[in-house]
Amino acid sequence: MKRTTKAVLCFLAMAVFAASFGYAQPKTNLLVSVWAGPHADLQKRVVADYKKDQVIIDDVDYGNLKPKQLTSFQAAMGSGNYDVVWVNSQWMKEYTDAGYLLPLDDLIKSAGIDMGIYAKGLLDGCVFNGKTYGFPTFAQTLIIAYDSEVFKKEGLKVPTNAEELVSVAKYFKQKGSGIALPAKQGTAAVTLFSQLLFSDDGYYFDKNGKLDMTSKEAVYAASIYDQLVQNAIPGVLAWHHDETAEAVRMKNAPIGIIMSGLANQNADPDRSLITKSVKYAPLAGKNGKAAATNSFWVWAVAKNSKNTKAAFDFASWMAGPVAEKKQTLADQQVSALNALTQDPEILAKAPFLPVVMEQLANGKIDPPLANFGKLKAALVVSLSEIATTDAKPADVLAKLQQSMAGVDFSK
Amino acid sequence: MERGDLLPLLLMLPTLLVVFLVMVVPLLYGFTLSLFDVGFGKKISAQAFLGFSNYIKFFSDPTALKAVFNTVSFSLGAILGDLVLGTLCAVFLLKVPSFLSSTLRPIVTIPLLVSPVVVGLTWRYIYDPKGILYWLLGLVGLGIEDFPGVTSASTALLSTVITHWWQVTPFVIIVVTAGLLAIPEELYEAARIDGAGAFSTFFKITLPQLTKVYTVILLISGVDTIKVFDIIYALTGGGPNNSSISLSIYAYSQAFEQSDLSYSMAISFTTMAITFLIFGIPFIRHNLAKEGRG
Repeated sequence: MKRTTKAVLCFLAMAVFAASFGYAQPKTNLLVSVWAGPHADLQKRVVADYKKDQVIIDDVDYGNLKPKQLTSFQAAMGSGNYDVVWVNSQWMKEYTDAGYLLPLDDLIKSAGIDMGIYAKGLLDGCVFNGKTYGFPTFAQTLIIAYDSEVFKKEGLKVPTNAEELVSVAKYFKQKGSGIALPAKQGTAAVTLFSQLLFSDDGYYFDKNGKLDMTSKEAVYAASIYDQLVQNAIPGVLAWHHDETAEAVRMKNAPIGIIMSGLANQNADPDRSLITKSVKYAPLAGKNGKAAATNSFWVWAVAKNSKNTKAAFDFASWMAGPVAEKKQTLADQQVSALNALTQDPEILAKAPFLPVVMEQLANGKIDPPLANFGKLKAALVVSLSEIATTDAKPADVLAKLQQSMAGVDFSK
Repeated sequence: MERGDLLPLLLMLPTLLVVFLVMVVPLLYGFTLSLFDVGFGKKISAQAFLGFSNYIKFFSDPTALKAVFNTVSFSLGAILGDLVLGTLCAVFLLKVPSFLSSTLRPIVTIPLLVSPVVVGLTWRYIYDPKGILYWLLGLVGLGIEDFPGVTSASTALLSTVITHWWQVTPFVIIVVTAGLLAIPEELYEAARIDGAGAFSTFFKITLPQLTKVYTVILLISGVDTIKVFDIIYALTGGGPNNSSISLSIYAYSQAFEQSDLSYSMAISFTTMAITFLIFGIPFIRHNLAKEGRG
């Protein structure tokens, strides 16, 4: 009898064990491409909470991120290519035109996701030809960060427009320091120029869609950029965002134009000497209005993913309220979720958020034109010329306008 | 044909096949791309055929021509510095007591083991106004105004060349040391007997004996420097005002920032042609002359 009972129990145990393997939903392996850095480290910690599938994060430095994503999009399905990609909003047009991303409308509908929870200005940057290709997240804009103790000691007022900003920079330059700003030949300088341009209600094109880099707003923005560089602390011509933010954090510059995504480090006592004294102000134009170049990131699904449904589930979870709040609290990322910008818990942790939101509300997106990259590349060099030579900003922009004469900006 | 005649060919066939697949096929594919208007997501089609337009565009593109000038300047400056510094260091290390040279030689070769990108990033901190370079210059009363380093169009390329010297000179030291050790001691003995001084011994015996070594260095460094990318990309990104842009950086930006694969390929093939003209032809002529066929 005992033997029979043992045999039955063993059989039952084996059956349960086998059934648990047979009926358990097998987990899918998802390969996710993100930009390497402190935020990617946080994303990895957040991803650990996602139990539905096995997620492998491939974090790549910014310079190699796009080339690696492009290579993955060309690969055959199931050949180790990315399932989910974290895409810079400025690459979205190129990716969707090339057919690399999966339109998500049907999946959004069947999952019952209300896209109204996202800031409209950012969500619009994910929609092309009426189709939604991703979830916006991690908005960034250039803001002013300053050491309030130094300002108090020097009896200075916080600049409220572009000319006041130049005056403050001049004041500190005469004192032996200056303003910190990203002036290395690269896209960071273009972002700064564009923000100054947008803040004065200017744009790259006129009302008829023709390139207008010689408008009075563009010339004014370039001239402010030039004056800021002339009154900057030594070395800014080799600086991108990281070095600029570090100069402010380490008290090398009493004021700086920093990327909001790096502002959270100012409160970190291990990295910052201005934890108590740092304050923020909008980067305003001539008349005090401050507008961002709406730059953000998008969680999107690669069209050549073998597991599009699982990839969509992960992307929507990552851009959803729970994961977004966790990231915002941890590193003060600026979320695209409307509700989080009013959350008192988050506002207490991210004192720069009101400034960022003001600029994003006035912000504009770079035009989704096939040849806009050509203008941007030329602008990179023109701004470097303005910063490093005696050439007049108006002349440099006129030369730029002329060099773009044959480029088609109609589509 | 004898069976024995085919055997060497058969034995070489796997190697030839690999060379054909991994070198010739991609080269032909790249060249084909350069004749079309192709970007990421665009396919080769009859409508996209441009012929040699991308090559014609290259020679009327001011940025491309600036990149050619910068690349050739970088290459010449880098090689000249590598040879002079490498030779001086190699001679110095042979002249000092052996315990000192055996200690110094491994130390000076350390930069060679570092990846060029890391070298570029390291030197970015060295060139920072708060970095060691300006601290040292400050000791002799100089500052960033006297040598603006990577922040000025006039000195950015030179700054990248200096960084290259730091990394590649150890390679030249190793090769030249091997060359120096191969020079027969009898030649120096004869020079001493004839009363030759240190300088005339160096210029009349050492340098001529190192010709073959220099040819090898010239070829390796030449090809290496013409395709320079990492050091410049990490240090200056090609700026300021494109003053340090190289052909490889320009090709990269056309492919991955402008999504213009075809023009990028045309730039790359032109770079290859320039490399061949500057370093390949003299090398072939040198070899032919050596074999008595030139």
